[in-house]
Amino acid sequence: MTTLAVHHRATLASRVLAMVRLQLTVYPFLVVLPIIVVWASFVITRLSVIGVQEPNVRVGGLMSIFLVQLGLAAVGGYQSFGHAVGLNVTRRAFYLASLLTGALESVLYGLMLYLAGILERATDGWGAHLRFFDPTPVTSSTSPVTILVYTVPLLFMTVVGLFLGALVKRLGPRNFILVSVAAALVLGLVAALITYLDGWGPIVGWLARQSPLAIFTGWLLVPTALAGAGGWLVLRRAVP
Amino acid sequence: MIVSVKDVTKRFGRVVALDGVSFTLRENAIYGLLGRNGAGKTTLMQILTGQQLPTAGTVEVFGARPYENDAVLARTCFVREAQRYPDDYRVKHALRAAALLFPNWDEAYAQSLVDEFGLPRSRPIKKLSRGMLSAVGVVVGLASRAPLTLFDEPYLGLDAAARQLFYDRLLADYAEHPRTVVLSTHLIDEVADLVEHVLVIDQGRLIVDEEADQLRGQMVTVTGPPAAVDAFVAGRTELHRTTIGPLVRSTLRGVADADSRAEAERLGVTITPLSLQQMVVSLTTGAARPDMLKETPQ
Repeated sequence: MTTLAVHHRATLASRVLAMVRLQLTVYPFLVVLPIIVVWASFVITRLSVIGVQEPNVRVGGLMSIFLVQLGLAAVGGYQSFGHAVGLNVTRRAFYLASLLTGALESVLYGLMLYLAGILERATDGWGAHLRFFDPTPVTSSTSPVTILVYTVPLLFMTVVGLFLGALVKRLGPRNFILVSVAAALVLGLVAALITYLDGWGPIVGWLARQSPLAIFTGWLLVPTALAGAGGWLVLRRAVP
Repeated sequence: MIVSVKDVTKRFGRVVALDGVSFTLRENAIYGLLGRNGAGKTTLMQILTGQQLPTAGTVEVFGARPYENDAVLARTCFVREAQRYPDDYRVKHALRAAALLFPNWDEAYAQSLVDEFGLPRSRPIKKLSRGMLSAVGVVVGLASRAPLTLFDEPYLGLDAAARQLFYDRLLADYAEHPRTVVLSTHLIDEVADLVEHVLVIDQGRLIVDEEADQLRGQMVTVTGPPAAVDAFVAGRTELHRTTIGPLVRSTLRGVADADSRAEAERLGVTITPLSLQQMVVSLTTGAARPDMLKETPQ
């Protein structure tokens, strides 16, 4: 007969690490999926420009990895919340683990895109003047800071995805649609108010004064942090 | 004592799911949590595992509030009837996830249970039959070896052989690794010999909190011709009466002593102890009142 003493006292850190391991290793296909999608998009793009003579073909296929990350974070977050909290993981451990996993993935994908951009420039756009991984001036640098140009927007998409997934979990699909419509109306009214007050000029002027690097790697962290805080506020009382 | 529930009430809008519930659970015992559908059993277990917050009252598990408590919840396993899994999960993924989350997880035991229940490791969870889905929960609940394990209707869809396998494995593993197990079930007769303590919830109120041995024999039925039954019942507490053709069946509070048996034999009536299931049915359908269990003999 063995007494069931727990061999260690579980802490928030140990539970977060267990959840990160779960999210990265139990079904790793979801970690690899954004990579598969962006390279599939690249291969299709490369094949489609065979014979095209126009130099510097800029394409938007890179967006695929950002959109897939948004969708996976929303759907994956929604589904794994019910699973994890159903298995007695605290909401806090689940959410911190989801953020940490998203950050690790964003760094991994950012590094991959940065290296792919370097390769793209070295091969003169894959031999076809193609600018797939390096479509903008802000990505055209070998500086490791460029990794952040990919990573921060990826993190933003992850956190927004988690926020949306948390909203669906807390509100239910029907109420989520109602709240989305209400939010769109409010944003529309705010935009109309800015127009009424001739406020777009100063806003556009402020944006123009920021360097693209500052916007992509710095200012984008502000809405990311807001979405992260919002996700937690929504999830902290959600029921699996 | 590892669980203490004091005066817990839970309301969902106008619906009172739990109404002033108080009880304790001791270490290393098997509890039967019994009651009709919608009685509040699942809500109670959700509160014990921090998945819901009580509207009023206090809950302590392992000496602390369970809500958002990593140390408490890591020692608790709650196998829900409606456990959710990510869409793409297969059986092997569910087991791997459980292995990462439960500190006492026994992988070899889990694999042996998977074989015994005939679970296909690579089949997607969403393609499992209801019984197989329940078996996944049973495997997780047993192999987690959590000091507090709660099973909420763990047998749905399981055939009789698989249910017996569950009861056998639960008892054998409990003997080897004692812990506190709470079994919420409708199949009361099947678990009657398994549970050591009975909690009955009816319409959100805890109406029975008794050791199973003490509960057994507290109620009996007396069957016979109406005049003989009337003579036997005189001076005793009758809880319920039904007429079956020429016979009358009367439910009485415990009369299992030798004198009563001799009197029954003399009058030509048959005394049959009420099974746990019959007792719970009587108590939760209004045929008997819970306070009758504690009344002194008249």
